[in-house]
Amino acid sequence: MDPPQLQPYQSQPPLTKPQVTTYRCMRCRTPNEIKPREPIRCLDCGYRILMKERTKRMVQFEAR
Amino acid sequence: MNGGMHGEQNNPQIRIRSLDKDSVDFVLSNTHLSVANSLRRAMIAEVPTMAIDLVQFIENTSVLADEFIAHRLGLVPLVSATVEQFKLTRDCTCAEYCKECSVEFTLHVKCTEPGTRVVYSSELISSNKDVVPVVDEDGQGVILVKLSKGQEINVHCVAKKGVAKEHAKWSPVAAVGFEYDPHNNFRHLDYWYEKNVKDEWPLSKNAGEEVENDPGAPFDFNAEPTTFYFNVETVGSLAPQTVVIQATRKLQERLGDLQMALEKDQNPDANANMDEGDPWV
Amino acid sequence: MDATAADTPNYIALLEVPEEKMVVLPGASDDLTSVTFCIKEEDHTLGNSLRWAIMQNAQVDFCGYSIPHPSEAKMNVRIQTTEQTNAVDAMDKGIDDLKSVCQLLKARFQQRIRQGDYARAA
Repeated sequence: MDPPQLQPYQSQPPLTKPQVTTYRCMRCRTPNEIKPREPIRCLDCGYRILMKERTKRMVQFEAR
Repeated sequence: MNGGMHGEQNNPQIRIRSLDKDSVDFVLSNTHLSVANSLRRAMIAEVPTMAIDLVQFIENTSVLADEFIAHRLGLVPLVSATVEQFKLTRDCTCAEYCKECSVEFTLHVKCTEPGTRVVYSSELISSNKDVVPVVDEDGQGVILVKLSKGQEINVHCVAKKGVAKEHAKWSPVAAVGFEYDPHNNFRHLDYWYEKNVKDEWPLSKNAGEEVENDPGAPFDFNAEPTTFYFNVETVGSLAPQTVVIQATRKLQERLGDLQMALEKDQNPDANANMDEGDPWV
Repeated sequence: MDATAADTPNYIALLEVPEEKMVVLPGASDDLTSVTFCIKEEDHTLGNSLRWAIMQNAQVDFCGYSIPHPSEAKMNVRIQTTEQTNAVDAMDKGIDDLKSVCQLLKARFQQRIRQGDYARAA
């Protein structure tokens, strides 16, 4: 019996436009983009606490 | 009724001791404990009211999380005198919600001055003049959230009809006081005490309505409670007398459904009885 | 599944329709003097007072109810009667009697509210 043909590993095709989320510095409020392998640090003031921005979408909750 | 039932337990008597805007105090007598308890349970969990059930956040920069505010909004009591005009959303023909089964509210507050801006439930703007947040003499209602300068809250709420057995926010009552045998003659209670029961467990105000058994008399094992002291305290959504009446009505309705189910069970093909109108009003 | 349906008497034919509000559980006596009903979406609110109302009937030897599991909205009501009647009639009469007690309760309360001989807040 032939061994099943192994398919070469196919990575996901790269997204046409990688979604970047901006984070806001908690000291100077400057928007920052966080990239992989880079220290989490505000480019403007060097503060290390960054927070994600609230979604622009409307959110709905059950009042329970 | 063709005999069988005890005359005394079969003819409930009621004496109203006091009634005001949000509470009624009454004595129910000549009935069985189970019936009194059914009434108590029905008042707490089966009487429909209106309450906010869906909250859409357009903006929330307050310190409280969205779901936290949504939960608080759900608990806001709403004037529900017209609740009978509404359908339950699940029985309604509409896809999501409509004016037949819901009331919409908006709340948009931004704090622009230094200091704390307190947002009250009375600031909710209703789409229906009969269903509005409950307020007391000061006209403010309850505090929903506090904002400091620059913070804003903008929400859209949908209030629906419901009963408290689904969620306690629909309960028309804050508390139902229920007591029988204030002297503990039946010994249904076994009080804990250090030195003297009587000193450590003061009598309730209902004790004046009954006499204490002679402590030397032989214990009556067959004695049953017949008198029940109720104190119904509402949250303001319904009048206290409405709560009691709706609770009895709901019990009758449920019994009617049960009887219909019994008939159907015996005779699965006959649905003729379904159209008989309202024989238990 | 269909085989059991053929063997069972008529009155439990409805066991196959789980949407039913009330069904007779298997094991009922042929003359229906001892029957366990399974009622959906009912709890202690009606359970205990219904049990009491059914027990007031002199022809009822036994009536008890239980909620087998708190997360299942089901209530079982067991009725055993004398030969003079059957459990279905006893259930029907119990419902009727309890309904009239509720009716009286409501009427009496409304009457008292109308009379207005009670204390009112200043």
